[in-house]
Amino acid sequence: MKILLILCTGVWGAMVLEQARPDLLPTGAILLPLVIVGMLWNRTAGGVFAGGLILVIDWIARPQGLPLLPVVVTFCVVLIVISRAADDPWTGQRTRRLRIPEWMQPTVLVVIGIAVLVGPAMIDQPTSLSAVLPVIGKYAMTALPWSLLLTGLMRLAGEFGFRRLT
Amino acid sequence: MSSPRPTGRLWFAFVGVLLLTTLAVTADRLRLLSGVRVVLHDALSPGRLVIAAISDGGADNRIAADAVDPQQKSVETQLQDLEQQRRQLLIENAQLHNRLRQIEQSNGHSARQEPLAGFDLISARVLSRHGMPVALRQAMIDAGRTHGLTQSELVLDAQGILLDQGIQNGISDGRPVLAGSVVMGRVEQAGRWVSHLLPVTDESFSSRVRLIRRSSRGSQMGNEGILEGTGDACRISGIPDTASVAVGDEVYSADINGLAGPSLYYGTVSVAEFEAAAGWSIHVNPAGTLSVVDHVVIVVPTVDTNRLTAGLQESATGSSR
Repeated sequence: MKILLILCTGVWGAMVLEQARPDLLPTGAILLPLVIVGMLWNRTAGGVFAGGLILVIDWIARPQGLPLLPVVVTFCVVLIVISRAADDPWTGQRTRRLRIPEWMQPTVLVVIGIAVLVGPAMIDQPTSLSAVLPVIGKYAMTALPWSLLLTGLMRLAGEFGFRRLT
Repeated sequence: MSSPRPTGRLWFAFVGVLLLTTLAVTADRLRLLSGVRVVLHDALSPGRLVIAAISDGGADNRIAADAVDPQQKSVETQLQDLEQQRRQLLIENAQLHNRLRQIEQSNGHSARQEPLAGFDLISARVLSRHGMPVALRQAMIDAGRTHGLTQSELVLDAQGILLDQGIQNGISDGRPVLAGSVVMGRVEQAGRWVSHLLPVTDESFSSRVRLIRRSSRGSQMGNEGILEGTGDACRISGIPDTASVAVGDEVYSADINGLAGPSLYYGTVSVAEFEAAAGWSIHVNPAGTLSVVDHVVIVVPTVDTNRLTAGLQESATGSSR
């Protein structure tokens, strides 16, 4: 119940911030890293589903083309979590398909998410690179540091025993 | 010994998200999500309003102020005022012609009465023109049930409303001069703090309208019909075959949600073709474009309770005699 309350407040706050200051925070700049870190923190089917559900709700509130983001992000998170699960503890053989350092995983997923958000819009309305660069710049200024901060907090929580590391 | 993670469940969760997404897209295509959308935006509104208040009046105003040249803005405002006045004179002219004809027919006895219903205006901002998806920019306003809004009320372009002209010109007692204001749409779903609009071009939009023709003898009231959205424009149905319609005729409201009131402006006739089998085929070019409007006003009908109670007292006195 406590977790659910924190989750709801965090998601509500992120959506409020993005809607109140769209000039500073483009769509998904705050919510996307939060959802991705939440999914990777939990690493369970319930967590993955909850993350996907939040992204679908965000799309319902602010529809932009097709809702590719929930599908792509959920798929990538499942791949990452499964690749960790594929490590054989008996033989020590690593069958990891995605060789991404753990601390980089949220940021890589955020970059993929941003590409999914910006890409279709560029295809729909072909614009010059100079017109798209400010948008990408805003994402780089907000979403990437935010995701790195959250990743750091996640690592810290692991070190202090607030989160299961395996 | 650590047991392997249940990868099957993870894939099951992914399939669940996929299904949920498909369901959301289907519901959106079937237009079942507008109610949910209003509820979601309502839930976000308190926080959004607090942040907007803290952050110095909102960024939209700054962006808009930076983007528009003051001189250009002044010229545009003057142009809009003149256009509004032209429409008002056109309506007045047509009404005077109509009244003259009625007086002539009734041998000089005028039966004109002040309307029982009045209209209040609620001002609202089109939600977040910057950073909001195009579909929502056109559809959400930050006024809801707490501001007195209910479903199906007409939404007008705020730039056309001359709030002070009534006093200056002695036209009315300071009430807003609504006649000739451009209709943008109708409130489809009224939430607590935000509402969803139905633009005039939407296929489910309909309203009673009247054509006004301009001729060498002044403007003339034309026939009434039903204006319906076609997706990107509007059409008028229900015009009698014997009526005379021409391209350029102007389209005004016949009533406001069934109540007699000021004539509101919808647009001009762009196509008027008569076919012997199907009757009139009339297409209308709508005057309002929601995607370029920052502020709107919603027309809320009010009943003149003083007149109503006076009428009731009169009828009670009459029956007691």
